[in-house]
Amino acid sequence: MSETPRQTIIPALRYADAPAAIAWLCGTFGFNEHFVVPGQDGRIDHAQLEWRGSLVMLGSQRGVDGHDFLSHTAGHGSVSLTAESDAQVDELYARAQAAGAKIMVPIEDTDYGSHAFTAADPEGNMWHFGTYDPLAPME
Amino acid sequence: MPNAPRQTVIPSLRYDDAPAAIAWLREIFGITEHFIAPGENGRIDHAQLEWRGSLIMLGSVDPKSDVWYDLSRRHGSVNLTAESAAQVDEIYARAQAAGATIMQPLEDTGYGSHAFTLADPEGNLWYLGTYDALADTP
Repeated sequence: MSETPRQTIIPALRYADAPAAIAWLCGTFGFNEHFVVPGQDGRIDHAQLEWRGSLVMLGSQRGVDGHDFLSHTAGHGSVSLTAESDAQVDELYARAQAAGAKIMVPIEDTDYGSHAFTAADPEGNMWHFGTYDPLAPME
Repeated sequence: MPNAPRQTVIPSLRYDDAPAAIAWLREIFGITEHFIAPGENGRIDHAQLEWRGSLIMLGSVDPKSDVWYDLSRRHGSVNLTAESAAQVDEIYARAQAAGATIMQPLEDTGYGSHAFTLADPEGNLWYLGTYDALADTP
């Protein structure tokens, strides 16, 4: 198992207000700033946020400069996160509610054995947190 | 390093034609099936595809679902960390041969990545490069 590469597939998101998104994701879900490249005029050219050893990447939308084909992904992100415990999911759910996040699927115990919920961030991207670990070794 | 958790942050995508997407991702990138839950009428309720030990999740769009469920349809964006420049070259050649839409041609970037970006048949964006964002993380 120690030979297994670390995360090699990373979600990428775009935000109209990336600094606000970084603050929100860190404050609500407990992401940490792993690497942030500030741009001009308060923009973020590139950011890597870490959570439980894995990353999301994000950056500011680049408007109409004709080059940023990634901008059309803004507000359409969908990310699944593997929590370490029921207690962590409960804690994140409470924080999401306190932060005024739009709850898309309230916390539940799913029929596939996950303690999970789905919330939208302020720009509409979806974040699913659950205890279901698709990479857990099959017994 | 052996104690680092495996991937805990997983991109999720939606496709109009999920079986075709799964076949296309296998052909171009060599992404393989990890777990597939087939649905009715040729739909895919849930699929986990594996590449270099990490996963993406995807499924068929659900015409009767809430909007949020299909949010990423045609708007997904995923970054892949290649193991070598040769792997990037090989996949780039396959993508070109398959007629994939190249958004950013193969290049050596200012941050040291051998990389390109393509759009899959439904418009989701796939970046493939040698840049390993986790390389220097203890």
